[in-house]
Amino acid sequence: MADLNVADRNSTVQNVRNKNVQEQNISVVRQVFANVCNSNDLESAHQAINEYFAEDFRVNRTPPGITPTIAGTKRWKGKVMDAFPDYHTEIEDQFADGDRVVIRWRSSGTHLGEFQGIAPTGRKITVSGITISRFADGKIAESWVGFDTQDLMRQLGVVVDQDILCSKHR
Amino acid sequence: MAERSGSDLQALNKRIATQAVAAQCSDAFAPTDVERSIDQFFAKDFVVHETFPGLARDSVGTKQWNALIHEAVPDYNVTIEDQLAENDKVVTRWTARGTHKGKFQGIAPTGRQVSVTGMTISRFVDGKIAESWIELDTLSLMRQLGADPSRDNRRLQERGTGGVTFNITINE
Repeated sequence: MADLNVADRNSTVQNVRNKNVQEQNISVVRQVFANVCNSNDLESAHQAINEYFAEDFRVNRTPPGITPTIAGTKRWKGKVMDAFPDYHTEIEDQFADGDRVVIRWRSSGTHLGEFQGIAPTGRKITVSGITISRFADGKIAESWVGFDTQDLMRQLGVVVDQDILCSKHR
Repeated sequence: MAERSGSDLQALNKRIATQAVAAQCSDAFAPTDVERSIDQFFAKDFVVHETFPGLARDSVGTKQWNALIHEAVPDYNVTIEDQLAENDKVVTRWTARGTHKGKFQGIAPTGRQVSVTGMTISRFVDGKIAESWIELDTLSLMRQLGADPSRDNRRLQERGTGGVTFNITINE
């Protein structure tokens, strides 16, 4: 009986410890959104990236011409700032399980600079997405980003004409 | 103790989310079985965010979507890459694969193997999925089917900001 109580207490201590780590991980991701995604200062955003991401950080997908690394993440931040100077991301939902944190987000901005070869259109865009971040030793070691590039392209005026597609294939 | 029953519930929700994926993508199921499984796993007032254009954001739209997929990609199957849960939500990171054998979003069958990754967050109420958020890169899918709306950006620049330009590349 005494053994069971010790086991129960140990598992409770472990649960509390895990919860604390998860809360800490969520806090790091929230800081990334505040100090990287929503920063208007490229230099401080780059410093924040160094602080929050592991040196060998990898992301599952990147836009063309961007490496899935810390260097690529820094470069992408600069490109987004040039293309959408008023770019802003809101966190709509967040939760943690094990060593991973899930964020559902919504970004918006005005297309005032060249973006991936598309000249400025002045259009306001809004895109939503989900990011899963895996932590190792308090830093983000790996990310998976889910978001619809075609939805973004449509808002920038680039669309697939399905009638043309059909006739080409007929 | 409360902690433990919470994680039991999360494990159950994960299991239901997995079963819902399995039921929808197995080619052993007839479309009527898929319809039944949607009624089984999804709440009556189910709402889905970010669905394909032209589909209702409810269980009717989900049934239509499944019928479309089974026609376009008869060998459609989904691999679950990762799954996380907290409280009433489960997120599933998945890869969907199959062969494009029927018309899909206006594109005639190409016979190509396609593979797309995505994520789904499901919110559970009383053991059923009440709400889902789905994120996948449809541009990657359209590229694999031979359409590329973003490659010829120069033409878009020439048109300026006014009109909508169709930039299509068909890879043979």
